[in-house]
Amino acid sequence: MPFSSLLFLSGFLPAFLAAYYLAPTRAKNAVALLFSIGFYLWGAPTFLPVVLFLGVLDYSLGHAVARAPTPRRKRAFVAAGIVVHLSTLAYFKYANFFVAEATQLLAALGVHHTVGWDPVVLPIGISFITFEEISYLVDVYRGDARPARSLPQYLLFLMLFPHSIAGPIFRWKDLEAQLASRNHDLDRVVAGFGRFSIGLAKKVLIANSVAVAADAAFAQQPGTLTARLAWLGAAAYTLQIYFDFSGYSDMAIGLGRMAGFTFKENFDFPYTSASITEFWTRWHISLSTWLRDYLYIPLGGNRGSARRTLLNVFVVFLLSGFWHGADWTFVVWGAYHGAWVVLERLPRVAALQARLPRLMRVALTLLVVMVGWVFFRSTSLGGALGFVGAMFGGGSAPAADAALTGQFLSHRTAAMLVLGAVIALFPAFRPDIRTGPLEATLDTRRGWLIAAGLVPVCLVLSIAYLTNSKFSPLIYFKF
Amino acid sequence: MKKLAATALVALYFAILALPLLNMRFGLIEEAPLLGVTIPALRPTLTAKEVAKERYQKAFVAWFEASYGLRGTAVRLDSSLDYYVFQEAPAESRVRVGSGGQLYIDEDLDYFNRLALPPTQEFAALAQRLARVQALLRARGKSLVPILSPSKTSLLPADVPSAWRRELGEPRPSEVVYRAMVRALDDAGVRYVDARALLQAEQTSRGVEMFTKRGRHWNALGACLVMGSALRLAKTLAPAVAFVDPDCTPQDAPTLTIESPELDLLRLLNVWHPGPLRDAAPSTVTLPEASLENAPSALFVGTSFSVTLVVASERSRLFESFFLYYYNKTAIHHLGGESGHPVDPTTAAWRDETFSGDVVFYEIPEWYFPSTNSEFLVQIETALAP
Repeated sequence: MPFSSLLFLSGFLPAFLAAYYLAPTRAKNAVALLFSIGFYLWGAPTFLPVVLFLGVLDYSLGHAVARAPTPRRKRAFVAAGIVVHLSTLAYFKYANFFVAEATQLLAALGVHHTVGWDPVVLPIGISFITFEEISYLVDVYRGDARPARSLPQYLLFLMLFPHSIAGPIFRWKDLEAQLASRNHDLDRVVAGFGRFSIGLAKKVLIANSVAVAADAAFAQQPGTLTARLAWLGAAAYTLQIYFDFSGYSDMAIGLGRMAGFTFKENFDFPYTSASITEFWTRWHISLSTWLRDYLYIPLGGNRGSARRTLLNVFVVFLLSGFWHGADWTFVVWGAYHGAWVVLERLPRVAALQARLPRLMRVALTLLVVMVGWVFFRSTSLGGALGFVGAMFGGGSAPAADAALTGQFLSHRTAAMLVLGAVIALFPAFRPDIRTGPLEATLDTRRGWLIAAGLVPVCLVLSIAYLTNSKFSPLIYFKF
Repeated sequence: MKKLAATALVALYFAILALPLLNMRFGLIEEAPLLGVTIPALRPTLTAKEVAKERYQKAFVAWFEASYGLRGTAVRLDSSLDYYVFQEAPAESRVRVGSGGQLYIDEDLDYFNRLALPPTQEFAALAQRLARVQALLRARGKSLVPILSPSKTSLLPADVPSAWRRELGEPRPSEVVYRAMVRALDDAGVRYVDARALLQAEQTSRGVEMFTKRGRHWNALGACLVMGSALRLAKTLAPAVAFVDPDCTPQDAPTLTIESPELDLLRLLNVWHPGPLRDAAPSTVTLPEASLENAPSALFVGTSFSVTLVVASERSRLFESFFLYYYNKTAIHHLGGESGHPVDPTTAAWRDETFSGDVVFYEIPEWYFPSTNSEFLVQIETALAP
C-alpha cells in the first residue's frame, strides 16, 4: 500500500491517526504496532511470519550478545544473526537473479537445463529491515546500544509502517528512547502533516508527472532514440527519482512526526553537490552512513594504506549498487559511483577540482549523476549503453519511428520539469538562503502560510491527481 | 490562540483525507457526476486464501478507487487544471486538445499517425466480397449501401495538435490507405458512398465544418448529407422502394448541454465548463418527415457513426423500423432503450433482422481500413449463397 495511494490516504492513514490519538499514551505503541502489522499483512502477507520470526530471533540474539561472557561468544551470536539476515535477503532479493545467471552460464557451457524455479516475490522493505537488524546486533555488540527491553518495542522498531516502503533506515540506538517515551503535541502533528503533504506533492505532482517523459524515453527501442529525447529522458529521470525518493522520505518523516517520532533526514539537496563524494553525503543519507559504519569501517576504512582505502571505498559502492537491485545494471551503477569517488580522492584530481568554480563543479557532478541514473533506470546493460550513446553520440531516429512529442512532453510535464529543476537546484545558486525542507510551523509567518495554504493545497491537488490518474472513461462500449 | 489554530489546521487536514471515505460511506455531499463509460469494479469477497495470494488486495483497491468518495469533484479539479491551465487533456485521457479547442480522440490520432500499410490484397478481398453481397441483395430487390466514414483528422487535419502530429510527408500513410480502399472498391465495381470525399467537398463549398468541434463524430449537417447521399444510392440500387431524399438545410446552432452528442469528447474530459456551450457548426438540420406507411425499413451495421445516422433518420422518421448491428456484435432495436442482444447469425432472429429490411447501410470506418465489420459480409453471403 504505497503512501501515495487513495487507500492509504483516505483509508489507512485516517484510521491509524484516529486510533492512535484516541488511544491512551501507554497504548499508543500497541496501536502503532497493530497498524504496522496490518500494513505488512496487506502488502506482503506471506512475508509477515518471516519478519516476525526474524524480529523474535534478533531480539533474542541481542540479549544473548549482551549477556555473553566473552567477546568470542558475542561475535559468534552476531555472526549467526548476520548470516541469517543476509541469507534471508539473498533468498528473497537475489535468488531469482542467481538462478537466471546460473541458467545462462550453464547454457553458455552447453548445458541446457531448465531449473524448476518459481520466482520469489520481493517483499516490501526487506532491504531496509535487514540493515536495521544487522545494525542492531552490531551496535549491541559494540556497546553502542542496549538490547531492546521488550519484544513488542523491538518489533515496532522493525515494522513501523512509515519507513516500511522506502526507508529511511532506522537505527535502534536512535529510536530506542523515542519508543519508550515521546511527545504528541499539536505543533508536531501540524509539522508532521506539513512534511507528509509536501512529500506527497513531490511524489505525486512532480515525480509522477516527469515520469511520463522518463518512461517514454526509456521505452524507446535502440535506434529510435533521438539525442533530444535521450537527454530529456535522463533529465526527467534524474528529477523523478529525486522527487520520488525524497518525497517518500518526507512522507515517512512526516508520518513519524505525527506519531511523535523524530526520524533523521535522508536527503539534503543532493543535486547541489560539487562532487560525487559530496553527493553521497546528501543522497539517501541513512544508507550512506549505514554503509560507512557497518561496512566501510569493518573493512578497514581509511586505517590502512591509501590503496587499501580506495579499494574499501570501491567495494562499498559496488555492494551498495547490488543492494539497490538484483541486476547487473545496479552493479555497474555502484561501480560507476565508486570509481568516481576513488578518482576524486586522487590528489591530482582533487587539486583540479578545487580550481574549478563551485557552479561548474555542481554542473559536472550533476552530469556524472545523470549518466549514472541511466544505468540505474535501464533494464539491461545493453540498453543503458545504447541510451548513453544516444545522449553523447547524437542518437537519431527516422522521423517515422520517433516518439510523438505528446507521448513524452505534455505542457504539464514540461512545467513540472522546470519546477522540479528549480526546487532541486535552487540552493546551488543561492546557498545563503538554503533553509532545508519547508516547515509547517505556527511560530513564523512563513510557517503559517505553509501550514494554512501550501499544505491543504498540496493534499487536495495530490488526491485530485491520483483520482484522475485512475480514471479513463470511454465514449461508448464497443460491444 | 495558537493551540486553537493548530487544532483547526489538524481538523482541516484530517477532513481533507477522511472526507472521501466518509462521503463514500454516508453520501454527505452530492457527487459531481462523472461522464463517460467506465467498467464497474465489484467489491471482492474477503477470504484468507485470496488475501494470502494478494488477489483480494488488488481487487479491493480497484473497487475502492472506482467507488472513491467525491471522485467526480477530484477528477474535475485535476482535469480542469489540465484543460484550462495547461490547455491539454490529462495524460491518461483518450482525448487530445487541438488548435482552437478542437478535440480529437486517440483512435483518430493513431490513424492519422499510422505508419504501416495493410497488404493491398486485403482491400481487394473486401471490395470483391462487397460487390458480391451487393449483387446478391440487389437480386432480391434490396440494397447494400457501403459508407466510407471519415476520421475527424481527415476532415480537420490542420487542427491536429502539433505534439500529436508525426511528420510523415505527403501523402501520409493514412491517405495512401484511404486511396487504396477507394481504388479497390472502384475496381470491384462496388456502388458506395464516399462520405470522406463528400464531406470534404461540402466543407469546402459551404465553408462550415462537418464535424463537431468538441465531439468525435460528424455533426448533424454532416450526418444529414451522408444519409441523403446513402438514400439516393439506395434508391438507385432498389428503385421500387420509396426512399425520401432529405433536404439538409442548416438551422442556427442552438445552445448545447454537456449531455449533447455534439460534446461527447468534452464529456470525456470531465472538466468544469463555464456557462452555455455553443458549437460553431449547426447542430440541427431540417429534414422532411416521411410518410410512415410508405417508409422503408433499414439495417445499419457499423460504429457510433452509424448511431448518429440512425439518430438523424429517426428524428425525421425516414424509416418505418430499423436495426443496428453495433460493430456487428450487439443488435440494437431502440436507441436509448434496452442494451440489445448479441448478434448471432445462427439464429432465426438474425435472419429476420437481417433480411426483413429494404436496405443495409454498411459502414466502413476509415480508421479501421480495410475492415472491422467484415464478418457481417461473410455471414450474409453465407446465408444468401444458393
